[in-house]
Amino acid sequence: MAKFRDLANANVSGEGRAEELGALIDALLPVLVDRLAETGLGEIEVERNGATVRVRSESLGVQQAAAVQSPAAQGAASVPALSSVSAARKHAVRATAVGFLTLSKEIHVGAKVAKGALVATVEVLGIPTEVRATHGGIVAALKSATGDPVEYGQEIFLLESIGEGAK
Amino acid sequence: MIKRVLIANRGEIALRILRACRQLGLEAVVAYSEADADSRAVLVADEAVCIGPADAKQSYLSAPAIISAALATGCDAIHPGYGFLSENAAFAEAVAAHKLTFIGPSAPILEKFHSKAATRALLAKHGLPTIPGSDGVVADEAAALDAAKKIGYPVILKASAGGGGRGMRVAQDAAELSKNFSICAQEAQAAFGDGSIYLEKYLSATHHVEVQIAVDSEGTALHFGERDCSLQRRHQKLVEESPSTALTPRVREEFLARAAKAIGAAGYRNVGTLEFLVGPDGKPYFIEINCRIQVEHPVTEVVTGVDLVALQIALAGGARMPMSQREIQPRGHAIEFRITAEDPANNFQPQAGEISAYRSPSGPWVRFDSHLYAGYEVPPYYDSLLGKLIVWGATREEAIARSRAALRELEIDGVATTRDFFLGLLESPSFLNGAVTTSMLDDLGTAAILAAAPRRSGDQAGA
Repeated sequence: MAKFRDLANANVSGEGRAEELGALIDALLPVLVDRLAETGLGEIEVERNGATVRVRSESLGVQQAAAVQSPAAQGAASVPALSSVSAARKHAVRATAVGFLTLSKEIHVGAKVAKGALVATVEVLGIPTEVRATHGGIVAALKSATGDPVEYGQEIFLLESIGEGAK
Repeated sequence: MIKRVLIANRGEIALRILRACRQLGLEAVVAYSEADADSRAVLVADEAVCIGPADAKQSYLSAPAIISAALATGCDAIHPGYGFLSENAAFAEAVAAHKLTFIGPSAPILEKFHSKAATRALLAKHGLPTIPGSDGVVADEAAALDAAKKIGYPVILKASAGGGGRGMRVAQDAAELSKNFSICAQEAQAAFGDGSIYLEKYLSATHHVEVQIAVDSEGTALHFGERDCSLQRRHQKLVEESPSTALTPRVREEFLARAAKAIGAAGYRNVGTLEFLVGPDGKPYFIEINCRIQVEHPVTEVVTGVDLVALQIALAGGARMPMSQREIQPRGHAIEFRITAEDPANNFQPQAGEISAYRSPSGPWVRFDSHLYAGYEVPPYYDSLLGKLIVWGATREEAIARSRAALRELEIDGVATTRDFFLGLLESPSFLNGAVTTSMLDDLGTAAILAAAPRRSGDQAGA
């Protein structure tokens, strides 16, 4: 059974040095995510200026968690600006109906997807409902698998923008 | 046996069904639209599933979305609540076709009782008095004029597929009937997809009294007393109470027993409500049946002590009637007020927006069925019911006194509500002496009722 209400998977904490950390994440995160996808590693951790950025691919490589910890700041005040940094680069492809999911064959982590491509179908009482990519990009992480029950609006996978399309 | 229920509704009734499921030890999944992601039922539920966008046609009114959600979440039953698809035979049939239990009457029964004209004829055959009317649907204007001549004016035109007070028009004479007939048929076609119209004699100054019934799969039919729903505005119920002030004990006894017997014999199953008009002669005439749990069911629960939603689920699961008629002994008096996000001072305009402050009434003999919480955003897409205040007293007077106290305790800021309207109503002599009729609110006028609301001195200064 799929978890229908996934929490946001980016978990960022820090204090005071928000801008500095923001710049750090901005620079590091896309590189690390790509690295993770390429290498198939479970986790990558990088330390810069006393702050740690950890990108972890969870069970089956389905979920990703990015955590930033500043050792100087155990207060763990959340810094919303940081989580939006990674969100801006990623686009979730979402289920267009409630039912059972079938991913298109070519959809796997690292696959290149064109905007408008048919990427999955959701079967509603035996009738397939199309899911099309709202953006072009590289599949960064799968959030659901073929055969999974999905709800309307549920994230199926994340697309990472490529080239100068990314802001 | 039902194990896991998909709750295919929203607002207070979703919460009410969720509570019944938990009490029965059943798992429940709340189906919700995107607009209801932050609704209380979703927040309280162990599991919830988004079935579509805010537009009800693509969510709460979408049979494929709801059934698919039930299958995707492993449910074996669907509770439709009230409104939306609750009395839709095609939906009930599709639910059954997917090996799920529809919590309500089965599709063939919904089909059988779908037409009001046919239901009136059927129940008349089983001994219920009906208002003189056309013999079923009238084919055209000429037939309507013919029927009205026999019945005698004034007459009321009704959409055969109608409900919730919509699709009705009164005609005082032939000219008015000619004028209204095609309008009414067009409205019915637009609202219900069925332009069939029938006629009834229009009784002015009537009580609207309904009988709560339940029938098990073996045909054992019980009644749970009556509710008086006379206080209506444009055919929309605002206040309901039990017992009715319109029935003498002798009439009541005979009338309730006859209603239960007729509905069982006519083949109805599960819970339902038979609606009657009580004319100036004190006699009830059957008008229509509601094949669902109703908004005002708590009034009956409070006086009888029977959990009607739990009973409904049990009966849908095939249980025999767990009680006898003798065990159902209504006690005292209960009144329900429908607190809606409507502005009485502005022609009951529906409101939407954030509930900035909220305090629910409580205390002994006070029940407030509501999905509100402070910070909740009332979405603009659905009906405006915010909550139902149900108050019990040993007598009607005591129930009224407690209602005043409870209404004063209720605080909802951020949207206009009907609270003050009810406070004013509780000062009206016609309400206090029980002379509640279907035309009372229109006769008194909203402005006068609002003006009668006591100015609050001790409590907070309002929004």
